[in-house]
Amino acid sequence: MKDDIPYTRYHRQMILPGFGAEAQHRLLKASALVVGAGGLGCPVLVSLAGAGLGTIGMVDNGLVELSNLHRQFLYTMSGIGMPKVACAKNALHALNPDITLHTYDTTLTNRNAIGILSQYDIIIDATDNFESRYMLSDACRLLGKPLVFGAVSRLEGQVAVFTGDIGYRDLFPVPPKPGEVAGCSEAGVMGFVTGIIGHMMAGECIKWITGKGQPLAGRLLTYSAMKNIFWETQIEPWPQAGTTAPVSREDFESREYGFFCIPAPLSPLEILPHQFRSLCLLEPVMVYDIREPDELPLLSGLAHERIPVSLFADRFPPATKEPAVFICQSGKRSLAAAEKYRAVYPGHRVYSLYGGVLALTEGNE
Amino acid sequence: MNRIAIQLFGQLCDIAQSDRILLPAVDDTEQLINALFAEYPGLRSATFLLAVDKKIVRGKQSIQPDAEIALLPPFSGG
Repeated sequence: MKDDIPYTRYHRQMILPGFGAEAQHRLLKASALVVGAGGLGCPVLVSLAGAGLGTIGMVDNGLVELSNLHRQFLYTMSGIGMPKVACAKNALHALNPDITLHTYDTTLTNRNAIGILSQYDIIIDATDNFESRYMLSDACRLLGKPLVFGAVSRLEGQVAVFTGDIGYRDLFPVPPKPGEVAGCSEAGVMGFVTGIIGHMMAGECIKWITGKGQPLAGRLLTYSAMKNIFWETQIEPWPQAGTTAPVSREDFESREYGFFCIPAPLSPLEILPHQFRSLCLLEPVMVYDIREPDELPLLSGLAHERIPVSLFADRFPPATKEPAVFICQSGKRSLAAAEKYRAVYPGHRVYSLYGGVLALTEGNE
Repeated sequence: MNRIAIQLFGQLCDIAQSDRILLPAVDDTEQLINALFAEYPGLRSATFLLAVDKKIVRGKQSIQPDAEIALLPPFSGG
């Protein structure tokens, strides 16, 4: 067992108390998939490759750009315009030729994720968008794979390890509305912040593989670089999280995570079915079904009041402290109703369910 | 008057124009959320977790005067 370890290369970490040949051997035998080779992926990759993680896969379909170089330190000027994973592989091989590197010059989606993720012991979420984060969390939950999560926003970051029953949906059951949370290209970021968060992610991966220390399993760490605040929060399994997560591979692969089509532009008053379900979980909601009495299917399993469109002016709903959500068959009449409500009560929260009852029942099946 | 401090992260700081805000002391999380929404209406449409003493709170729960409170938004960047 000891003979296959290059002692000189790993000497400084092997002499750490409690680490030694056994931990190094575990690292060399392990495999990790790093999804995203950008601001977070670069420090994760360089840290894992240096430490001797035996097999590293990396997924990214991007090309190196000049605007990457201030924080993605695996890349150089000569790599601009080249595939990131090819440049990263060259750089990591130059750093440590003893490890095995696999590259996937593609976008990881729910259609190809299961096959790729299945080949690795642990998955690292170094992506830069919510679609990928929810998709990866759902995939790892289905596969029973540990997932190291990391994300940044300007000069702050988050790290967590999702294992067993806990995933990203136990924090946020559904993604925020499009445009609500800005990514790095709009909000800005600095290399030292992605470096700190990325190296912490690599550390969590190494701790999990070697069984050393206490990984951030079931804990979310939020970090503010400007004030050096580390804010740790426990993550409890949240039963409602399961209601928004796919329950099978078939369910997972047929989901719409946003990789394959761009949804029609929504009015600011429109709310998507999954956002509506999330809203109902989070707080009381006044739901108004404005269809005529003979319209089917009935809205079941959801407290609501019926105010048919034909009687809407006479029975105009009162202002309530709860947000009002109007629902019709397909979402068109309810949008008009929501606009009227907004005009009468300008300060109140009001939504129209996008796609109507049809979208709601479709999503439940 | 007793006050309670709330640590904000991410774009929630833009809404409140500060990363740390003070509100009059409250008894429970429901009062806290109502006070936050009244003072900073922009928070109503924001996604965040309410953390009290290192735990995520989703329903109504009492708040001790010395509680550590934070609002944690989702981050997507990488």
